Amino acid sequence: MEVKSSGFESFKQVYKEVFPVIMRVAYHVTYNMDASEDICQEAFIRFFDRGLIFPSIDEAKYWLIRVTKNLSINYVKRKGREKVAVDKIKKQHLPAAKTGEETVIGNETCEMVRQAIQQIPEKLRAVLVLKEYSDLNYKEIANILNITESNVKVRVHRAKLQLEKLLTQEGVHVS
Amino acid sequence: MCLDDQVLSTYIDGELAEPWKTQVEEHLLHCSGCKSRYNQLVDLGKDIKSARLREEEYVVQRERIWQYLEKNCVALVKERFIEKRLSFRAPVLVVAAAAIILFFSAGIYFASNTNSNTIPEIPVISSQTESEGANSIVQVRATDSAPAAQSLQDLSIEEILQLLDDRGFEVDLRLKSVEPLTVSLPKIDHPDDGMIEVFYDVDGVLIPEEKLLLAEVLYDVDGNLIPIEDMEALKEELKQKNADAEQNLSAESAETEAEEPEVEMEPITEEPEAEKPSSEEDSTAP
Repeated sequence: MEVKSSGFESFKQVYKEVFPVIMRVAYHVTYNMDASEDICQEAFIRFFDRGLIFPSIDEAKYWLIRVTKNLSINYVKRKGREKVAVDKIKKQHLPAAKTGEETVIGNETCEMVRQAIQQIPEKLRAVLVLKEYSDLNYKEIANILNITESNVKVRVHRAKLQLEKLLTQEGVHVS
Repeated sequence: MCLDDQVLSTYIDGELAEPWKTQVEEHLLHCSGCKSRYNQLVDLGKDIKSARLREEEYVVQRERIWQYLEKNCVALVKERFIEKRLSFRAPVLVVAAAAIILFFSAGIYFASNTNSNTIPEIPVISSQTESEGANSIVQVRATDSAPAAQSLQDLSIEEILQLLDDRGFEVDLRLKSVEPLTVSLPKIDHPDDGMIEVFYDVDGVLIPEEKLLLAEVLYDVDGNLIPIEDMEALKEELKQKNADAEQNLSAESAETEAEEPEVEMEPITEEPEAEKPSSEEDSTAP
């Protein structure tokens, strides 16, 4: 089924089906609900404005995920630079920004995992997020990131190892 | 031989192909060390999954963004429709305008009948004689008599034609003159043939003609327009990258594999990791 990104009906359908994935990608890369909202909105505006035609809804999804991931990484990098500047002035460590939603969640493990993911490098984080929170397989991730499948495999594993290390330090992972 | 961490991870991700998948399963039945590591990784996977953003966490945002998009995208669709209607070629407008002007202020030719001056609905609009009979052609000018012109304007073209038709007139309409219609479109000085083409961008802003002359437009993977000046640099960079990649291929493959043991069993042709990141960096650039 052909998907026209500027067609109102297909746009509506794509939004309904793809929004949750896009939102998870944005959130798990940025860990900031406000930023994620802006990023998702921006991604869908671009999607609509470009007037693209996709052979299937999956292709539209890959396009949206790619744009969202890039916007999210850009946000994190910008935020990182700002944070460095702010830290220099304040000469003290600032905890990562928390949103209301995060504090509501009582689940301690969930919170610690989210904190830990924020500490791994963006390159690994993006792959991990696509694997764990976007329900994509290696092949699809390779397609979205324009890297080889084996590269995806290696990065996913490295990300997991880093995460494991961080979580063990925090005392979450018991085995 | 015990299982590599990477193999276990791939297996847990459900991406390990046969026959290795079965081999791993069999090995796990017998090797307690690997089984324990396997369980660790499975637990890690569960922990990661537990942090997944839940639907109730983003339901507000989903509605809010949709409302924004619905409002703005529907508005955009409307805007584009109007823009399309307005942006046909200027000569079309001129001709269309001329045709309209013609009916109201230029002239109507029709074959006169003997009782042409007895039409009650249409005022007598000809000052010329109509006594020559059925074969003569009488030119009627609305401008010849002011009251006629006024009353003609009160009637639509269809009404006039219908009335004439009812009376048995054979009506022959001819284009008398072509005058440019003053429209609210921005004026463009065009030295050539009067074929004026105007383009608008999605915001409805007129695109200057000199910009239209830029023949080559390229987009990056995100669909962002790449400025012309960046193109040269990009081409250079690509050339350089290709050269580097060829060099690195032989030199670094041994090193990369040593640092990062790939799954030996996988029949996938491995590429050195070193040459990959640069291409990804490009895609993240705005």
